[in-house]
Amino acid sequence: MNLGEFEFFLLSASMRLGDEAYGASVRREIEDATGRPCSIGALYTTLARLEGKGLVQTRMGESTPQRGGRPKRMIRVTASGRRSAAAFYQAVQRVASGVAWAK
Amino acid sequence: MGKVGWWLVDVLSRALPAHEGLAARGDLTESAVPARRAVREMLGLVLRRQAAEWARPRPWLALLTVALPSGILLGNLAQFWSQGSSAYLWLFVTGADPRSLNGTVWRIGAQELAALAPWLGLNAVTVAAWAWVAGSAVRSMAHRAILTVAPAFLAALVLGTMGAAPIGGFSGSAPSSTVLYGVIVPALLRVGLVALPLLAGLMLDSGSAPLRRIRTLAALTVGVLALRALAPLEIALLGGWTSALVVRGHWAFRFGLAMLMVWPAAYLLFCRYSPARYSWRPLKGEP
Repeated sequence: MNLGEFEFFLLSASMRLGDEAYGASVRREIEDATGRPCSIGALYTTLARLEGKGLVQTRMGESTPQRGGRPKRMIRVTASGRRSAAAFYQAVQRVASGVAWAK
Repeated sequence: MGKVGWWLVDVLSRALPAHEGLAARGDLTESAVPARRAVREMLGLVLRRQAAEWARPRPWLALLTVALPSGILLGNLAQFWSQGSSAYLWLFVTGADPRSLNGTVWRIGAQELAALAPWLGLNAVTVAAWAWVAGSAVRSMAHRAILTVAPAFLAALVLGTMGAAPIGGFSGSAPSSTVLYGVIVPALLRVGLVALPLLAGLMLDSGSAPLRRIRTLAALTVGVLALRALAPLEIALLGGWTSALVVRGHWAFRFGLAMLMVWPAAYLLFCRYSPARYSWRPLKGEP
């Protein structure tokens, strides 16, 4: 399944975080990796789109005092999501192969 | 901005599905972003969500089959009804000669005055129930896009009210020459028995058991208005108490209006008895 750049970021960050993947942690991960701000709006609408495509599953998780007692929305990448992210990454590698900045 | 900003974030988060609003609000708290940025981000999420909803058929169904037609019709009839009710209240309170209303469509004989009070009450209940049911139907059809559908409904209501101004000859009547009965009472009736029930229907979650029962009753009340399409039968059965709401015209036009009025009630009754299929489904793990 075709992915957009931000969808790939979200899938990759969620995979890296594993069981600790939820809205705020994924957002931090993307901001740290890209050096760009990641808005809640972009994050949640992309998450909904990925969920609609069957690339991630979400469930409501625990609440913590740091969150004002509000629950986390936990994210799990599905097998289909892993395949799509891998295909996207391989396409990027192929298209950048031999290009000066990829060396 | 501080507390006000976070209060605004809370208000905005309620426009999202409950689980998402809580999670997004929690993420913003955990990220410790300044209140100003939190407001901007939550507003961005709400707007993106509203825009995304319009890719689905439900907001369009709510807008085109209830919000716009019911808004215009309700506004039109509310103007007509509130002026008539104000004229009759003026008769009751001042004890004026009923012949003062002879130049209007609300003319009435002295012997009919006694039967007027229950008739006025029934019409008031009907209008309020209709407003509430129409609002509830819109919320039920498109609750996730309610922030964009509700203003359209209110705009249609205002448009309908403005278009109804010359109806009935009220402007030349004796009660209209007083500020109280010419302006204040009709406005209070429209706000109290049309705008507020409509807003309550649009904004309140009517899924709780007591409200659901009341909503069913209201839907049945509005269903009675379908009898407008069969005016002779309605007069025989109910003494024509909805006749103040009748817009004269070709029978097909009246029938169409009656169907428009009854459609929100029919939709709610349908949903009431098939809740599993049409209600919002929670995420896995969500209570």
